[in-house]
Amino acid sequence: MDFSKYVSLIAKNNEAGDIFYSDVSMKSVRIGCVEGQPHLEDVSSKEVSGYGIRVIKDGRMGFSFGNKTDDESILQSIEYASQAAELGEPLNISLPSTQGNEVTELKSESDINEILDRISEIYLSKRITKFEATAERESSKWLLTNTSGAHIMSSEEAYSVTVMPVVSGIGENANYWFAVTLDPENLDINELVLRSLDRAYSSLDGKGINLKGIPVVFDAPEWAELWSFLLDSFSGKNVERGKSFFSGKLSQRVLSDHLSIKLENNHPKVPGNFLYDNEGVNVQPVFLVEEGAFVQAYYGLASAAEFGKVPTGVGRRFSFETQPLDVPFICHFQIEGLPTLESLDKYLLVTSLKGIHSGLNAVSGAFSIGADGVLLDGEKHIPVSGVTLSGNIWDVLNQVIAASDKEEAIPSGSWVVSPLVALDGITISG
Amino acid sequence: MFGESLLEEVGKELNKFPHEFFDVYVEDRSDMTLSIGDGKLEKPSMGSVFGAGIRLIHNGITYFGVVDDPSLDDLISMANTLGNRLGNNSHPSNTTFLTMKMQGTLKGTSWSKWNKLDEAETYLRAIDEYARGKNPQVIQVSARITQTISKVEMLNSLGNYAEEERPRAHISCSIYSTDGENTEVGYSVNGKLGGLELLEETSAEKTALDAVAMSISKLKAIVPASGEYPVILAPGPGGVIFHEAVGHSLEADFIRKHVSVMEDKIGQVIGNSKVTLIDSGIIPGEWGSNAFDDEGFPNQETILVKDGVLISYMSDYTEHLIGNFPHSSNGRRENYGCIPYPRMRNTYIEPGHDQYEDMLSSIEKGILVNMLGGGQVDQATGDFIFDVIDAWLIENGKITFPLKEVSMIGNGLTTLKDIVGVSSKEDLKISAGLCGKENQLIPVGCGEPYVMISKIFVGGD
Repeated sequence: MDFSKYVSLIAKNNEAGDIFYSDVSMKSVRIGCVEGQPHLEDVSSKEVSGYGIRVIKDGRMGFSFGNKTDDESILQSIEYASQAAELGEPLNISLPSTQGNEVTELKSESDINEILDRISEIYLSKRITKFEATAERESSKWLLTNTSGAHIMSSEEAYSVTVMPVVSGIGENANYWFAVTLDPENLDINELVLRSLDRAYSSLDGKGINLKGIPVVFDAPEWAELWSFLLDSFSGKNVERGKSFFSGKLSQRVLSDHLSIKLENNHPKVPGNFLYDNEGVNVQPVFLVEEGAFVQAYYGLASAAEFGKVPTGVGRRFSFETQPLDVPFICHFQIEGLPTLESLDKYLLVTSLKGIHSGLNAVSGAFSIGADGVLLDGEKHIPVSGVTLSGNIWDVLNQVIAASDKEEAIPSGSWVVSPLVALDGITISG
Repeated sequence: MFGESLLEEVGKELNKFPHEFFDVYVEDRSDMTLSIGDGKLEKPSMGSVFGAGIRLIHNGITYFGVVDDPSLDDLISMANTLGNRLGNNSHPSNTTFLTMKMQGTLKGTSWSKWNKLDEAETYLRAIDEYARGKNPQVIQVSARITQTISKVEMLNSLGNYAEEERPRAHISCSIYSTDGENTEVGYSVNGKLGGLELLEETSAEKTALDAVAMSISKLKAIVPASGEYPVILAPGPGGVIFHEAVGHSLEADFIRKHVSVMEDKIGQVIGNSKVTLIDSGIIPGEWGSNAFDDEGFPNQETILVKDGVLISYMSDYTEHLIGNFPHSSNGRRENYGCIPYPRMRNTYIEPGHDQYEDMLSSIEKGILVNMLGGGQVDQATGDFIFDVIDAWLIENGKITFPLKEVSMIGNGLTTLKDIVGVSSKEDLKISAGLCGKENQLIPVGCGEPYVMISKIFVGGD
């Protein structure tokens, strides 16, 4: 689609604006297995495309979206965005003039049915008779044009595979693992299955026990899940409006001085690059926290304009239907100067969280969330289930005591790239 | 939209292929949103999308395709694409295909359409003013109004043709308050199947002050000692416990996959005789209601538990075919791009004959729960944990202190048996929420009158 004539039309009316077009196609196959009989559950194919239009009149921004690509419908959407702009607050927004192409290509291709067959074989060989697995191939591209001359085209393809076994002991337990890859031919399916089983077995037939003074390590998906609720605390909008723990704390040391948190635009463990955000801003690699000190909040185009800051390239659109949200692409946790997890006598590895979405107050830091996992005590692995983890998360992040020596990348709104981190100061009650 | 005769053409095309079931779901949806934050109007938005999802089920396998902004030719082409996926060994169907227009069980009522974004401006500004004027400890006010109008038409392999306009309006408000040391958030949320008359039914003042009261009370809240307490669930949002801890376990796909604690329990006593649990899609104006399900069948009311005895699971047509469950019109989907699954509608505890005041006075030390947050449930065991957003301590029959950092931990089946009081119909309230399953969010109602549970473990200090 070429939207340049519509952008010119917006400019002709002495207005500014941008048009974001996305086109996503996806093929997904899911299998299920009950009583050792794998079967195909569903086969889906989707091609979804549409556009989001922002019009800025005297600094006031309005938004509209649609998926009908005839002239009349697009012009109607521009008119809607223009009407909406009457209501916005005036901001000194300057649209970027970035030009660029960003292409992430597959390194190999694979038949997703074959991937699922292989997964079935491995589970059945391990006498797992109840499981589910989904494999998807997704191609997405987006195009941004604006009245300042920006023209960015980004395309990406990837395979993703998610597996969820149900393991049995006295009772049953389920857990999941997944992979996102550009190279499905070399996907380590055995590792994928083993990791899912490790997680499912970890808390099987566990009990809720009180564990005093034991460090807690969140497994990679749970750590990423936790940060999907905490990262918003670094949003410039929340910091400036007093809605964040970090409000008024710029340059103060607030977390462990072993911990740094950096936004990145690429990382070897993350498929693809993120050189441009969905507003046309170059994604800036910046530290949010450097050696424990809060050094910078992040800003999208509108929030940067509102608070007189430079945008950091965090304007994300999860669909053409939504206005950009301030959400980083890659959040990289760096730990310096601490021993490895092997140095700990014992710790609780958390492999499942319950109730995190309302059990965590990111402003005050107070949390009380349910968890399952395994107590790793030398050679002993003791399953733990139904415990409550509580404390103040910001205090706890001041007590980082060890970290694993390898990093994992998990998509959770943002990609979270981090080693496993051991934290003191969490109360574990059964 | 296409209308009955054009969709019949698509149905005839799908009918050429072998199938147990097929359906076509066409949706033309328009959204409007206006927000306020920091005293400023934000993110004004309006837009629309049009698309269709086609599903063909053969040998228990679902073949699903999505078409954006479709023409009739696009739909017929997708029908053939899906049919051709069945492979060469599939024998074509040779039955004739005729359509019949269905009448919905829920009768349409008049509603007030939000035509221009600025019609909601006054309401949002009033929320901001009421909240800030009520208490100087209020530091931030965020509120949002959305209206979604979804026009759908559906055709399925039984020949059912259904069309419906589904307007939904929603208000949400978050208030941040501080005492200089701590910052707490209070919420109020309301939604209905209908339009902007919601703004008249729920005044800006009430929306603001409910959230202010919650955030201010949390500043003074104490953390209770962990332990077992008698609990009274207040009408409305407390009902999420029955949705999560009982309702999901009764969805037919979980039963078929042997991952539900409710498997093989039809006809068994699973709760106190005071417990009757209903899932209804036909309560006028309620957030989770529709005239039809999302597979082309008139909606229903389903009694799940009657006087403590499990009566029914919730099934869509697919699970009816594959798992032989009685069909209860519970097939729902987020939008045209999604496959329907068995989902709840408005799930609530039927009122009983007890009095709230009697429940309260019977408690020496317990907890009144006004609002539950999200929770998580292990479907296989029924074990749950819920976070409590708004709770108060009960001491010697009186409500004393607000509580914070409270969670409720238990088991759905045990909790149903431990219900010892259900108040009368005047107290029944159903609250609007969003239910997530299979990466789809759909509007659902959860509710109850006052419900007393004799004991439940409360996680606190």
